[in-house]
Amino acid sequence: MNNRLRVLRAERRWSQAELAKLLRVSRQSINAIETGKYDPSLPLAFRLARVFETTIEAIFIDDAVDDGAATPEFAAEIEEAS
Amino acid sequence: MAGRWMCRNNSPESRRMLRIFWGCYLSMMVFYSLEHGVLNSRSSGWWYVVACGFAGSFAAALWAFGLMAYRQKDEFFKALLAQAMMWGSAVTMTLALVWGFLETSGKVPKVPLIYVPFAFVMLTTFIFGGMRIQNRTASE
Repeated sequence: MNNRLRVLRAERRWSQAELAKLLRVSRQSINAIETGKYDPSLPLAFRLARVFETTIEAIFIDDAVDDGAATPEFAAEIEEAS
Repeated sequence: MAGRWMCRNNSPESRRMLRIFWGCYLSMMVFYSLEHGVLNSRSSGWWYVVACGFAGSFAAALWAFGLMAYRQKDEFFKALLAQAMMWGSAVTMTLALVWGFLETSGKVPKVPLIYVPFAFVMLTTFIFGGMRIQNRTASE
């Protein structure tokens, strides 16, 4: 999953270590999330949103929308097929 | 020390679990030494006692490792630990399978099964360490 964590962090001039301290996680966790190696759990995503005073959707980019899954059109298609 | 290296930046709880883990691992080695050294001249009853002690130490080491993963607050660290354990068991089983196959056909010498738990613990430790180093050296 792509995200805007690096951009948001740079805007606030925070280092990875500073953000990690705020979230009570390791710096490696922040790095892994930023580089897309690791998708955080929902509680951690909420904590990130709180720290940046924004919404989860403003931080994380939902790739599933691009492939057409989990959209109303897709749901209608499934319903039609069944 | 491997324990210190593994628990860097982690809670006192993790450090305590790692101490238990390495303690259990050490007792495994003690039981192993007993099996190979002291017991050769003893009655067969002692062999069962040592075998149970060895198995108990291994189970306790796994329990400590599992509990450390379960109580770990850093979810990325927890995921790495789970991955390392999966890779560790996969590599150990694959090696045991290949070695067992070659052993059956007489291509390699016979190795006691007692080495399998040691191999699992050591492989998991090194894989986990490698994963941590890989993530630590990533850019700031």
